[in-house]
Amino acid sequence: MKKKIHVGLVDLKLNNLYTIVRALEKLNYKVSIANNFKKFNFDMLIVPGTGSFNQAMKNLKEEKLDYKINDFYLSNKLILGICLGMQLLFEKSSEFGNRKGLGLVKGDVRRIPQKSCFNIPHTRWNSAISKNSLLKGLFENKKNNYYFVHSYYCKPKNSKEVACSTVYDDFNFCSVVHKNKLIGTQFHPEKSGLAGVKFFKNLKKFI
Amino acid sequence: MNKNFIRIIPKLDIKNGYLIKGINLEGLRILGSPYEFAKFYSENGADEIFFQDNVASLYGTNNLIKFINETAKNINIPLTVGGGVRNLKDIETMLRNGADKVCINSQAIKDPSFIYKAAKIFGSSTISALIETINYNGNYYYTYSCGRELVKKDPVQWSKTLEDLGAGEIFLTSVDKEGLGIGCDIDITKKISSNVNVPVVAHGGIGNLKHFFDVISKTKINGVSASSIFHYNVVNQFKIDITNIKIGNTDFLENFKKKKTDKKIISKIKNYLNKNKIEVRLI
Repeated sequence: MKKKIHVGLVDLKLNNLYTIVRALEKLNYKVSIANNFKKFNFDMLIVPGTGSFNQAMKNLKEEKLDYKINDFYLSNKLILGICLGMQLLFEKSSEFGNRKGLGLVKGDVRRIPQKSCFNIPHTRWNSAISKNSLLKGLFENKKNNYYFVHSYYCKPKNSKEVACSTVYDDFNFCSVVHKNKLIGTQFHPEKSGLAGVKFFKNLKKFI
Repeated sequence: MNKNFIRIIPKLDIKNGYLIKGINLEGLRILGSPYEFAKFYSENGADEIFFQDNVASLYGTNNLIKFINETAKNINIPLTVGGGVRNLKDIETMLRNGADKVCINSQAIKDPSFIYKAAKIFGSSTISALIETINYNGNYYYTYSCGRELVKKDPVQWSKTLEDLGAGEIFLTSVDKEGLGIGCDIDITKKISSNVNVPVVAHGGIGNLKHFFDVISKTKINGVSASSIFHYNVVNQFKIDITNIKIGNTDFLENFKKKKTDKKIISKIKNYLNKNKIEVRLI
């Protein structure tokens, strides 16, 4: 029997880990909660969302998980950041003041600009339009519908790292970031029905 | 106009482990197992599931956890849970067991700063606030504990307060329309959805396809939630052994077996909305 892909799921102590665990286990991944007591000998690491940026960074630092995530990144293994987990990969966020992130991707996290037509948070299903050919094979189609729920968005300094973009009314933001073995999605694949199942299935090609 | 990807959200009311349905949040009838309904909706095009424990704030129980866990096991769309959220620990427990958002009413009325504290830790996008409006002699007020307690204040103002405190969504139930299938309360839904910037979900009164269209086109809501139109159309899909049910009213369930239903109700609603230029997610 083929060895299962072992996923470490970082516990921010803020959010629903259960749905991700279930989604991955159904696709035959082995999932372990990644905390301070564990050796990070996983094939892949997931930094989940939701939660507030400050509280998440505080919880990571308290358990020195920020160092462990950084080491994992340097070992050139796949890291997937989901929602807040994607935002944490950046240098800083303006949520509740300015707070430093993990700094694995150059750029920052900003609040979705308020216009009269916008609802914030952006809570809905929306399309992620794929741009980056390096991630070809991860998305079923050029345009896929996923579930979003967020008030802040990521702005990578290097526009080449924008793998997908999403349009919210006339506002365009980076919905998937890609740098080396690092992928961040602003949407929640674990809550995106069949499109999300396909995303996690295809992810195996990138380990 | 912001009319794309409107969320269609089946609402499941839970009591003693059963899916139930009432009128004006009262007179509850047993319909079946909440897990089966939630799974069916998840697989058949619902954009989100709303779970509400109807007696949680009355008895202070938190038996909802077991149901959240069992339900989350089999669905892969967002799950919002309301009922019995009293402290930050409750929120953490619900989230850890498979809830994606929690919806708070009674506790926000007792202690508004609770919304602020919760949003600061779990993020606004996880904290939804429930407002149960009631039209009483032409004036709008709001209630808590599932319509049992009345607050003689303006719900429009309350919606703004909740937004300012950090609630990331307003879930709006019109108590006096709930369960009647006569259409939503457009007036109060319009007032509240125009008054806040956070997404507003309208609930209470949906009885047919046109009711969906009316409330979406006439107000600034971002989602519509309903119960009867979904549950009554799919209830015959599931077998439930009535002889084992010791509590609650099951006559309705027995009679219902003879009626004509349409299990493709979600697709039907969504196709109807798309035809009428309201973009929704189709599967």
